[in-house]
Amino acid sequence: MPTELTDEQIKKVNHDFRRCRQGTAEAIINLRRSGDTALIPEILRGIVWRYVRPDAREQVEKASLETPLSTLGMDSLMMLEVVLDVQDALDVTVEDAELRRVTTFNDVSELLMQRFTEIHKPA
Amino acid sequence: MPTQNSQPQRRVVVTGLGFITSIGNTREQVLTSLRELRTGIEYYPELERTRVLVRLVGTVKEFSFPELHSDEWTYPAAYTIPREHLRSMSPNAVYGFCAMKQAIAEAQLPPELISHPRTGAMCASGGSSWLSYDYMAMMLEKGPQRCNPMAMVASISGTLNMNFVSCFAIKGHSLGFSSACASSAHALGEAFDRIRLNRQDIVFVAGAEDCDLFTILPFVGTRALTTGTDPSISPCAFDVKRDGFVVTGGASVLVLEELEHARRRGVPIQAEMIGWGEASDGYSVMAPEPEGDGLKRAMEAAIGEAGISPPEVDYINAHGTSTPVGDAAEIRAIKRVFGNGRGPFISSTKSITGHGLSLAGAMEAGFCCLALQERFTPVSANVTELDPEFASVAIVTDPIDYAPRVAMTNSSGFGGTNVTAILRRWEEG
Repeated sequence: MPTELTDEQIKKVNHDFRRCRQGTAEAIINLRRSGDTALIPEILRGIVWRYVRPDAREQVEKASLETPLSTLGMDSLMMLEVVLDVQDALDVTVEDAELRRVTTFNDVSELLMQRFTEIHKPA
Repeated sequence: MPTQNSQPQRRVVVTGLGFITSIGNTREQVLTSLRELRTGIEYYPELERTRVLVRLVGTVKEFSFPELHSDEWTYPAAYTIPREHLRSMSPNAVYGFCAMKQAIAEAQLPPELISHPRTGAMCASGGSSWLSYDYMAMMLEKGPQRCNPMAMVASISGTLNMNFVSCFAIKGHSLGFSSACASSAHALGEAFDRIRLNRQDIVFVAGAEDCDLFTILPFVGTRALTTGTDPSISPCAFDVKRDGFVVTGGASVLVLEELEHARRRGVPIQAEMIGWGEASDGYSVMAPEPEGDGLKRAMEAAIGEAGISPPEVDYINAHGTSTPVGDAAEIRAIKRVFGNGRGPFISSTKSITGHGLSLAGAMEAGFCCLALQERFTPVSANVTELDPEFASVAIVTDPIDYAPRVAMTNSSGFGGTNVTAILRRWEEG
């Protein structure tokens, strides 16, 4: 459900996601404004970029959508940190059982797109 | 008398110290502050946000914890805390990590001795009320699945021991102590026993506390804090005008080691711990027994275990929080143990550090090691009008040139728990 964001909400997104890859906060703001789920893969990539070790960031930049997230040196807690941020970014809640079925950027993005559309569908 | 078959008593020495305190974040800074009576207490602007009169805090410098996410926390550049450890830490565990690094360096411990089945960690922290409060609010608002999964281990009172075991790969005994302001003194005593009883060879003793409004405000509620605003006047343990303590946080670590183990490694020995004692008041959950009954028995037990006589104690680092009833009970207890003579020199270093709560026992045992090794007697700051009731004991109100050989440190906590530890200057032979 596309909505206009208040200055306060924009400020919060910019603050909360300032450590993510450049452009991530803007993509989150655009997603919330437009409801364009095509932005989700890049948002996910920007958040993963934040949590991997600095020497794995280049790998995240280059990773194809078929790359399993586990190959980027992420342990299970890093994965959870990504999930927490993604849920905040998209304002969705993803169940643990759903997460266990996904491994690649593509899988996760598709799950998030689906959840986002369900939760934020037009009234 | 030892029989032919009996093993000689194992002796316990201190081979490393680490300090993150209001009066310094290195051994050298702490030593200078103690010798030159430089206070670590200052005006704390955040208290202006609250409707209380308290204004002074023993602040921990060079650290900041501006928000919940640990990526935003800052600490001195000399340390590197890997993200995978930092994300489960509380502020007090961050202080503890840094103090631990110092103590490990002083004790020259290689990784294989830090992580060894005969090396343990006895820790004391009150947990992080700040993290508990903010994370709980987040769980209620957004749901626990959308909250940091490390929230619990970062918040609860076992945070220090749990994080230490993980960060330093501790393989020996690990335990947390929760006896309020005697917590790390209990940790010290337990560490001593475990080495003496041949259950461990090295034990890290750590005390740590957060230092923020969440640590301070509950003590305002107990009416235990001074409302003084000038750290050159307050707190003033043993002064007739004393009106309560100042809160501090930070961390202190001691490396306790079995004597022959330390000798074999060839590391410098800083002091010997020769005994400790503990006793409870059985009186009140908050107020000390007015005659210091529990503390008297703790001191007597420590002296007995150390195998010395009271006149051999040269210096007492008092609990000395600067509360009217607490200081009086402690001095009465000291008079009963040491008789009517002048007795040992007495000071409260809390008058320049603030009261470190769970941290206090380890911090002040560390100060005693410095006093013994560096041959000086810490002064009790801010005494301008000594309480007449204390005139007959040797409270050190001005610098003296005296090198103590045996030092005692007292700690008392809510519930009327009391611990005394005794340390002796190390002289080879």
